[in-house]
Amino acid sequence: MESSIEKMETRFSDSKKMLHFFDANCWIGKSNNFTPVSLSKTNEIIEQMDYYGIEKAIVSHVLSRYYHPLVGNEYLLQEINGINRLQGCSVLLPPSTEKIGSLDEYIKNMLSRGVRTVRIFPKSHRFSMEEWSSAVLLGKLEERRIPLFIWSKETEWDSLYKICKNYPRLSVILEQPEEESFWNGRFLFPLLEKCENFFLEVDNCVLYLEIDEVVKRFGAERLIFGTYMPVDDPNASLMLVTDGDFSQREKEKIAHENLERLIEGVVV
Amino acid sequence: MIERAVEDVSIVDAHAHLGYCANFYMPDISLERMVNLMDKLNIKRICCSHLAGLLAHHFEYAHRETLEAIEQYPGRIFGYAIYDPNYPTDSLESVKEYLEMDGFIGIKIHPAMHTYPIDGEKYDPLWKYASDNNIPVLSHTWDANPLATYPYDPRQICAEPKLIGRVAQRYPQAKIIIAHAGGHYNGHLQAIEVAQRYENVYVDICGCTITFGLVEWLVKEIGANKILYGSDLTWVDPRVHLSRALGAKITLTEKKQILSLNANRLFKFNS
Repeated sequence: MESSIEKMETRFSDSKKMLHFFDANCWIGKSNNFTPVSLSKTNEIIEQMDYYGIEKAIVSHVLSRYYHPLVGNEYLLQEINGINRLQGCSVLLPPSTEKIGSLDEYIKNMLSRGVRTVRIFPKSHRFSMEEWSSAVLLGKLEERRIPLFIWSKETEWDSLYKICKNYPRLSVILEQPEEESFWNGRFLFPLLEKCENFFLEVDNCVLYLEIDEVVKRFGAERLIFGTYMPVDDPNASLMLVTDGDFSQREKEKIAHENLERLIEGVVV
Repeated sequence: MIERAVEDVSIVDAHAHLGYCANFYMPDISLERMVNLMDKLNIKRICCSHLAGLLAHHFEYAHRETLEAIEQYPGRIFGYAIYDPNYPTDSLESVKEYLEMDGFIGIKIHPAMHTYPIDGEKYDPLWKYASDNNIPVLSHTWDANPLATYPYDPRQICAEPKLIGRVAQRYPQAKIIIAHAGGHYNGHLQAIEVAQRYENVYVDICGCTITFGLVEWLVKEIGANKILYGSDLTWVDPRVHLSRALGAKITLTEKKQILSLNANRLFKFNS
């Protein structure tokens, strides 16, 4: 007789196959986070995606975060060139803070090479997200409808609120890796309530019943699937979706449709 | 004809909580919702300590609330009694009183929240009692390396897994569970070293970190027979760590050990 563990193992595996997962938060390059297994190359990430049942992924490069955004972005695009399952995500800075040249030209070039999303790291890269510093960058991203990923540990909640309000056509997607994310709920839920252009990526959404609560109160449209592989265990994000207390239709939206919709809206 | 006993491999959540935490929003901490989710996930038993005794020194209140939960869902909810080293006499008395009652299966300590080191002398009465009476002790542990831990919490110095090693040496009969397998990478390294060295030391995989490859690594380093599944509910969602055990690149036998058999053996659920 099959035990409950075998049943759950089979159910988890089968449920994953029913959804077309598109991972918004994947990284290549040697990680600064020590983990039991070290994966850094594109082929290693693809192998893991196959194992976990993830069809496509948006990837950034570790060098963009820790060495230099523009160098890392270029390195990334060379590494993933020709790999259809991986789509690059550039890490950007306000143009006045680095010799970026014309921001318009940089973004045009980025888009022509398949990039459709951007990440910023204001704390690590030491710049302000206020208007006096980041208005040009945020304005350009809004103009092109390029979704912006930002980590909660890299910003202040008041700044996030201001960005969402000042740039209502900019899709702002919050990610919560590398922190004890369950502390964030009392900031997160009012933001979801007040700002329709504010989204939550599900990696490390470990708070008990958090995902179900977001779907119930704000709709599945506000959640984007992501794993922060290879630092975080993708199983967690996968099961929060496959075994979420919401409909299969809502699971499909979270697994891939919401991200695809935002990307399709980018003005190329 | 001789009938063989059927091995119980129902899922056991060995590390969970009851109650609130003032610092953050908890969508629903009701017992009804918890048991409903357990049913959906095929979790048969859950072992809980109440947060009022961990966050606020109110171990008497915590024990009463835990007992109510046990009585409301007998055979599903089990309890840890909480020992608070800041109130050694009173809390040990309370621990002894509640461990006499049906449904209490172990002792929980939280050296970081109680800001007292695991190997400090105020824990000695507890270790002696637990050791003499063969009662498992679940100890919170966490990495306290400021260079490798995010966010850094100095209280975790009291809860480093390496301190468990000193206790295990002094009390070789004590059955100790290193909670969260040490939290972060440096803590994981310490947890592994201690669990390798001492026979009666176990680790659980729960907590708010979800290190990639941890389950496989622990199985390789200390063996599946020393690893327990825990959720850390009501803080952490039970699907988070259940998925990590079910989806790990290990054998079905190893998954059964982690999700069921080790806890059944430790807490004597089938005897």
